[in-house]
Amino acid sequence: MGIAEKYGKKPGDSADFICIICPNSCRLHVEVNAAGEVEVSGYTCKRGLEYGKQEFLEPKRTLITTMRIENGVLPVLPVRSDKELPKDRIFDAMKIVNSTSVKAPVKMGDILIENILGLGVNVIASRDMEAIEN
Amino acid sequence: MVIDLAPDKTITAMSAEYGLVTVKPKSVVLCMGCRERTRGAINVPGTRPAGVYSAGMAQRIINMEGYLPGKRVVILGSGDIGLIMARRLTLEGMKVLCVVEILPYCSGLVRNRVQCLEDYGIPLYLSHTITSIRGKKRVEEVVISQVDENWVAIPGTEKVFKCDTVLFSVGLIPENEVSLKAGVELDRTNGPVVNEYLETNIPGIFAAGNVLQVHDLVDWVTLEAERAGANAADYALGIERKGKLMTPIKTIPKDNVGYVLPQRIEYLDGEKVVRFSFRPRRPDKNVIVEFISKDTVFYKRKMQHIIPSEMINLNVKLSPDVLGETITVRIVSAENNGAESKK
Repeated sequence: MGIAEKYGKKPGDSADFICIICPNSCRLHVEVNAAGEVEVSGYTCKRGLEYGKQEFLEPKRTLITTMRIENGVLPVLPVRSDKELPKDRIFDAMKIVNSTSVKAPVKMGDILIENILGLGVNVIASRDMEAIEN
Repeated sequence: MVIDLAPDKTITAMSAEYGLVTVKPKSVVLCMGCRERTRGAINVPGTRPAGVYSAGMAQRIINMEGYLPGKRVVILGSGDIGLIMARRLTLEGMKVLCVVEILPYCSGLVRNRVQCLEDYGIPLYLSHTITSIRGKKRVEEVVISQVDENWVAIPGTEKVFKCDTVLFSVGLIPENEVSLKAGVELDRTNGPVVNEYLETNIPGIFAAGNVLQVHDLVDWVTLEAERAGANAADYALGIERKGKLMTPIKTIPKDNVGYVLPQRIEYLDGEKVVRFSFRPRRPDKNVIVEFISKDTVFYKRKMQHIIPSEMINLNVKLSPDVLGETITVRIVSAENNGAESKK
């Protein structure tokens, strides 16, 4: 099975979008050719080519949000996913983060949720946060 | 909190721990950042209900205090802060009805428009503005109208959105109160005039970050701050600078260049590399940035896409033999063999 077929794309399927990797913002055109392969045009660098393919087959985004923290200097802690996850799972991931809380102190990079939604992505702390002294 | 900075660099500050304190440093770096422009400052008509926030305030409410500002929101301004808040509020369960932008193009970075609006199907109304905020105790609805090229509302184009929150992302204004007390000279950019050391007209007072020029990427803020800090340290250590010019070289922004930093080059002891920062006034494609002195282009750089919301930073080599009294920075179209870029 060709890679395009694995993601539910057939020959003739296509999309146009703007690459977001760098300020050049190249306009990309992606389509599936007769042989079932993904062809990208309009890119000016390798990263754009990769982005075009990924965005067409399975768009991914980094999750950036906050999580409740107990006994911290602030009531919420900024967190992010350590890798991108599929765009269509972002709101599911938000539900999990919003029902999780962590205890201070926390160090930047600490894994707070491991392998969220079984996607091989962790949610980590984006900053240190101290506990409030009693 | 600093309440005064004197021309001799004496700082007067209030401290919870020590009360009123006076500090006499050898050098100072100004990095007070900006204030946000408010609804009042741009005179948006209507009533004055609760639920009207600046984008930065909404960020604080969600990201530091853990509260949701409301349930349904209209955002005025398509700058990066407005776009990022559109995404943030949507992720936390608010309904973002639209982003409204008075200019005919999106003010923020393209990648933010894609990741914050298009990803979530949030409409962007260009050449529109909010013409009324309505509600008794809390925002109940806003009216937006299309505007003409003079930013005047076009009758008959009104759209009403029922919402309980309005976010204003309509510009940042450098915090200059303390700088003015010290006698720091400001440019029409609202930031201080600086030389290549990021030093203001007062020797030993430096500036960096949003107080100097409003930035879009924190990466550039960090680099600028590191430079200013290192230069301030050298100054405090009494390290001598060589090659002080009799008359500083002035930099002049031309045509599509809105402003250029530094505004002055004050030392030139042989060849050196200076970092220049500037923004285009209008979006453009396929251009060449040119640095001109004594009627000769001594540096040029091709750029594919330029927009006002993306600052351009270039490290340019300056040598005494090519420099006259001024350096002009301009942007020309690459296609027409160097003809002036469209005005």
